[in-house]
Amino acid sequence: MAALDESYDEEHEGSEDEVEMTAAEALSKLEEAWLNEKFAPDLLETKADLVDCMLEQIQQMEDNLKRCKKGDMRILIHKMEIDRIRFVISSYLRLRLEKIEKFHEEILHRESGRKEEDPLLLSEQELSFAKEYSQSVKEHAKVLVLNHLPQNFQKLDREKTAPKPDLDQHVFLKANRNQDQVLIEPELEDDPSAEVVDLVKDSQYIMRFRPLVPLVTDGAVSLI
Amino acid sequence: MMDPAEVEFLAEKELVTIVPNFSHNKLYLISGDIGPFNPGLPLDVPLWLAVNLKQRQKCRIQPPEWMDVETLEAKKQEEKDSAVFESVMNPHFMEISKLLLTHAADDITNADEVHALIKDLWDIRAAKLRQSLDNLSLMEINTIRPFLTQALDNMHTLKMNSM
Repeated sequence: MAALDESYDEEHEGSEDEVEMTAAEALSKLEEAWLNEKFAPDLLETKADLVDCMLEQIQQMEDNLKRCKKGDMRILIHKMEIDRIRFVISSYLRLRLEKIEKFHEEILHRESGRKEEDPLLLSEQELSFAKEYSQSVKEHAKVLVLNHLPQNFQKLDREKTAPKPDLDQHVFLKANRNQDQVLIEPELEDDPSAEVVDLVKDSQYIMRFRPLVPLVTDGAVSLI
Repeated sequence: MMDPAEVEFLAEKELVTIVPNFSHNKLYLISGDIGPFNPGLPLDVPLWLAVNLKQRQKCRIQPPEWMDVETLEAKKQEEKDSAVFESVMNPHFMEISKLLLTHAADDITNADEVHALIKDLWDIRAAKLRQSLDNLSLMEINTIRPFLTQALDNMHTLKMNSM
């Protein structure tokens, strides 16, 4: 479609995405999602659309590079960039798979309670991975231990046994815009002594992840 | 936890000025357009590209303005005299210095002195780390991440249990 001597910025505009975004913007959004995912104790909403968008860009770029003459200095430079983007994508996906493996029960439970209009937690592939993984683990527990126990001990109670992400872990963050009166102790909601903070744009903080969840989701803060 | 190499990866997106010795049309990278390249004409490129071109002897790197003995000495004094963290020249000053001093030392005037000053600045700031967070660079945050976050996690548990 596009040749190497056309700007990628202009080319991506008008794609099927609702929000029009240049390739460079999509990349920086994905990089931010990568860091958020890295530092969040819990699995965040999937950004599969950004991953797909970047994979498409890479594919296009690689097709273009195939048409380049050998020794064209652009090949090496574009390949270096592609490697950098691939690194971010694989690291991002791996981080998510790690969390899915760790919290598969909890995540599948949440996914089954998700309403149609809620944002997607898992991509299609992640969902089928989570299901298969969970199935294998259950099967394994059954064959190895549960089947050998007395009847009344053979059930696994998700509430009691499945590991859950610890939302009370502390994280570093940077405010992307001013945000007044952030309630940082949601447990004390009705208590007048509950602490609130004003986040100042570009300032850096360290606080508990739980009250930050909505702020990370809408991009008001970035985890660092 | 973040690998220092990953922090360096992020720093490699910072722009630096190079003086190429070749000519080439504009490059249309996914992350944005770069160029055109003309021999002797300075232009800004991401650090990862600058280092690569330098390694292939295709350019000279113009070190950032702050990478200079006089500026760094002033910065060091300012940091020493202050009880809090002074703003740094660039949030990635440590990684950029390391990359440039490793790969383009011949382009930096008084490279040895610059190296020593950057290290002093880092040490003074590391000593202050036990106090505040603003103006901290990612590499600095990374060095105290496990200690600080776990200490606060434990304090939160204690607080919740005593309520």
